[in-house]
Amino acid sequence: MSGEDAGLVRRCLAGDEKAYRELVERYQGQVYSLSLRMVRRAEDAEDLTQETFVRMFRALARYDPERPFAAWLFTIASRLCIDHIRRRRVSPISLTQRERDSDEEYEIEVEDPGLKPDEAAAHVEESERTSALIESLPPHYRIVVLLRHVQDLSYEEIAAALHLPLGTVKARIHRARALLKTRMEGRTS
Amino acid sequence: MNRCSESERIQEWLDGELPSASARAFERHLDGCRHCEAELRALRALYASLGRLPVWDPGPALTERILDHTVPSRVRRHLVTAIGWSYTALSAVTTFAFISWIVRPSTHVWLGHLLTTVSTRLIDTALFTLDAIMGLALHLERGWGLLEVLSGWILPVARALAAVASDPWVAGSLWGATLCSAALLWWLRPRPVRIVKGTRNVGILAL
Repeated sequence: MSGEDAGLVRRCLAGDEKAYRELVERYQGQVYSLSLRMVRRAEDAEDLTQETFVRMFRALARYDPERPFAAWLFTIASRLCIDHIRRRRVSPISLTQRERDSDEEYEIEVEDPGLKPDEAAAHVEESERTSALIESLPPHYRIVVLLRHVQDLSYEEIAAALHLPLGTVKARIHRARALLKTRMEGRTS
Repeated sequence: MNRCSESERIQEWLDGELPSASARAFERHLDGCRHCEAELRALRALYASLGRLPVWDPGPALTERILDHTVPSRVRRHLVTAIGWSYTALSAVTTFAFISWIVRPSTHVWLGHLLTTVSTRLIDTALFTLDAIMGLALHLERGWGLLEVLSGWILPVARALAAVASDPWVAGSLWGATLCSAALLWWLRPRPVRIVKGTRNVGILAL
């Protein structure tokens, strides 16, 4: 945990209400961006951001200062996002298939029913194009890419946050990157 | 499309996950493989794009909303406000209902009857109380006679209880029951809540 985060957490636990504001202002943008990229609706992202902070402050006394604070916060946020997606019954699209009696997986070509990259990213800047490409990924790929590349979490932290084996996290990140690269190349060619 | 079998290792190499010997071997391979070189360029571009993704600011309204739900003094203030408004609304409805009821003509008749009944009952109660006080005063006037009457009622009961309790089985049972009750009360004492470390699992997408 960074020294600044540690100080803010200590002040919050001591009841300093200014520290609450500082902690919220410091992380609300990142939590909101993560939530918005996961659930795609601004109102839902705001609700999820609020719920993330409510749960974080409620659990702050039990927070282990050995863990990076941001990783802990994003863990709460990502679990809430995944739970929200499940409740909304948005069915993720698996881009891999497994042969019967085999551990080998292979990718399949499917059309994402959400934002179509070709439509969503037309006439926008690069970052918006990348955002649109990320949004075109199924949720289980999207969350690992966001936690790895946007929130800078390590593979181990992502595995802990999502309660997944480390190997699964690595495999998903690799496949997600390959998909993004292919789609990005398809767009630029 | 990249057909080089070594291209599978590019991501591991970029993430610094390859052991040093494998990394050096892969770097040598990279020098001579155009396919992997192109793949590497594409992945680096992707990493750079991902790294430049903007962080959106939800604005101060959300900050205030979050603080309203988290800062203890604000949460208390909202709770007090909510209770105050509920109390005010309830008082207004009750007052309105009471005034509406009291202005009805039938209410006046009912109230008159109620007042008569209440005053009669009050007088009856006062007379009964006076009678009881007078009776007590007469008993006290007789001095120890009152105590004799009381002891005449209580002593036989006390003697009977002492006779029963002098039996060793009864006495043992009584002591045993007392000790069991004390042990049960001790076991049911309020204890501190055990706090489970970690955040609540809100569910993971089954994939």
